[in-house]
Amino acid sequence: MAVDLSSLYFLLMVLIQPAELFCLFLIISLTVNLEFGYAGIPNFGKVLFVAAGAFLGGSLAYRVMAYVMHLKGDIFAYQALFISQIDGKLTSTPVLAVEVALFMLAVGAVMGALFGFLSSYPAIRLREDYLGMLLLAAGEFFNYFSLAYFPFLGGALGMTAPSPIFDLGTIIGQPNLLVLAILILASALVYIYSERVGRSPLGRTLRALRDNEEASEALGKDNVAIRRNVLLVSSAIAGMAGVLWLFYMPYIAPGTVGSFTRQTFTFIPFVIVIIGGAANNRGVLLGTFVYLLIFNAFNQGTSYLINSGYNIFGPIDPTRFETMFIGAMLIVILLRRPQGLIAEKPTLTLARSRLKEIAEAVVRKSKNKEAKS
Amino acid sequence: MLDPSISNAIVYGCLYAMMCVGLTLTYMTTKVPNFAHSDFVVVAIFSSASAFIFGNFSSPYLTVPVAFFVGGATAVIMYLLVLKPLTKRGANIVVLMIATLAVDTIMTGFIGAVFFDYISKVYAKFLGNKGYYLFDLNQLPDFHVFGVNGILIVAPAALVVMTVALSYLLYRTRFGVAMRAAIENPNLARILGINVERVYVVSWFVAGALAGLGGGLYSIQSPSPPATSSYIIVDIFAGAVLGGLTSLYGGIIGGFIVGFSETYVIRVLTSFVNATYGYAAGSQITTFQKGIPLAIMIITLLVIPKGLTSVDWRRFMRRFR
Repeated sequence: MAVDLSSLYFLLMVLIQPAELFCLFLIISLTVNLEFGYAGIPNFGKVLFVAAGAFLGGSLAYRVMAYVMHLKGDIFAYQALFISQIDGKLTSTPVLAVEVALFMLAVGAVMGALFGFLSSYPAIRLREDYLGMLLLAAGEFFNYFSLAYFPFLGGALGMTAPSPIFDLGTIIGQPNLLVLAILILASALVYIYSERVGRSPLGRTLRALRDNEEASEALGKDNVAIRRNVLLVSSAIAGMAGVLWLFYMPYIAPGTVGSFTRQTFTFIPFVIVIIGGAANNRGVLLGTFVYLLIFNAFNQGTSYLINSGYNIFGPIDPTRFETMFIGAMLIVILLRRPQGLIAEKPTLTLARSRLKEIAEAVVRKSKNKEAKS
Repeated sequence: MLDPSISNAIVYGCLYAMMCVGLTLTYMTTKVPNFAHSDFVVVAIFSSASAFIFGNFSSPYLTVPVAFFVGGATAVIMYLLVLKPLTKRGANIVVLMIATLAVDTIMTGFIGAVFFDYISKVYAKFLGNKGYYLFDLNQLPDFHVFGVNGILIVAPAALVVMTVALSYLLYRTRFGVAMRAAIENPNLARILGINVERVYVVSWFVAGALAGLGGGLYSIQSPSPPATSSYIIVDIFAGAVLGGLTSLYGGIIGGFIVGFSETYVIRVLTSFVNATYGYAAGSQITTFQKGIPLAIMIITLLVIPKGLTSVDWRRFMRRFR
């Protein structure tokens, strides 16, 4: 039987969106793993850094482009028109599109790092619960502020960001595939980076800091500086992830209006890291997959049920049940299998074969002694 | 009578004080900042509002006891089902915090499903006939005593009664002595034959009930949309951190300062900016409202990380004499 190429193409197209979501959640969860898994920092304000990157990177790019192209008028009222003009310009000049994309990523990284430094500074010296409380409160404030302050993002109206990668893809003829390719590249880079950090001496230092703060301080490690640097780096990555989210969906809706909520960008990455197993990048990979499997199965299942006439949920929004299920699942995992699906492996400083040789040599020596005596 | 900006600030101060003392109590017993504390408040708000609407009561004050007991019951269920088993397994503080975040998520879904989807949609016609919804009980006319709004009397009275009752429980009863011992040193208390688990359950009930009482009165004072939980959590944490998380009176003082300054400072700033730059400029100031508790929290952590109760006020006064 010959393979029908057009159906294969259709399958690929259907899989693009889940794949994009997979890459985005993988990046954010890897930063959570770096902070919480390796270093034990409870960053409950992850949404702050993702949103800082997305809001500031996206809105700044839009404002700069509107200024450069001499678009006259209210940038909120005419945004549909302005954005179509900006995207048209980016489609016709690929170099400019690349520049805009890089500009957005740079702004996202800088803003993520800046927000990370500012919001952790007061509590980084204190116990981890104060840091968790402060970061969570800062995240809630940022969302509240960007929803309520109209001149920032247009309030509940939201703002549309330029989508340079999509425009570049339009030139090739495959916009969605290009976005997916960029996301895969970015998530692969972040994965390789965190894998290298995890295996390096720095990774072992972070675990030491997590497991015994006093001991690591006694060995001459500057705990506060290490914690601050980890937070800076992972917040910069989270800020870039916010910009990548805009490449996937160029709509900035602040706070509870849009997708930038504490539930999505703080809680879900923690769920992913704990399902898969903390301090373990392969675990994060598996956790992201499992979470998105549950998420998609739930969405497809409920929409199938509702479309075929079995509305078992009545007037209740089915996503509420998903939220409750995810929360309950996390508690059950914490109770039954706190190490996650893939448990953290003990750190081996030498290669396995070398360690075996040493162990055998020790055993041989002791046997020789016994034989002599 | 009193300037409305001051009277509002006093009411908010009392309500946040009740919520903060609950958070402080749970922190003292379980040693974990409870991120689901604001959900106790919100569950209590909507339970009492539903009881008021469906029970055909004449005043929303009559259903505030419902809020009190629902808040307490929710807290006890959370402690027994989630935190107690986790503590038994020896979970560290970060894991406990994540568990409370999970409870927060579950309760957000539950509140949305029951109150905002089920009740609001199934009973839409009934609610429409009544003319108000679960989240705008503050639209109802309040009762007046000598020209003073009822809430301005009830909220401070509730705070005072609760403080006195809590002090009596802690310092004048045998159970209170056991409670303080269990908070101070659980292992020693266990050796002396105190049932520490029962003490913890009671203190979680008290904490949730105080949050619920604050919530029941909050719904009379202010509109309470679905996102209330995520807004008031900033105030609750700021108040508890300002109070120092180690003393109940610290929680009360911290909560009162946060609630009062948030409302009062914003009103003063708004009227000042309105007078200087015109009306539209002043209306933007309210968007910074939740910045005030955050600023209080940051300053507290930078200057007195152990809170107001850690400051030696006598030495402080002597320095300036």
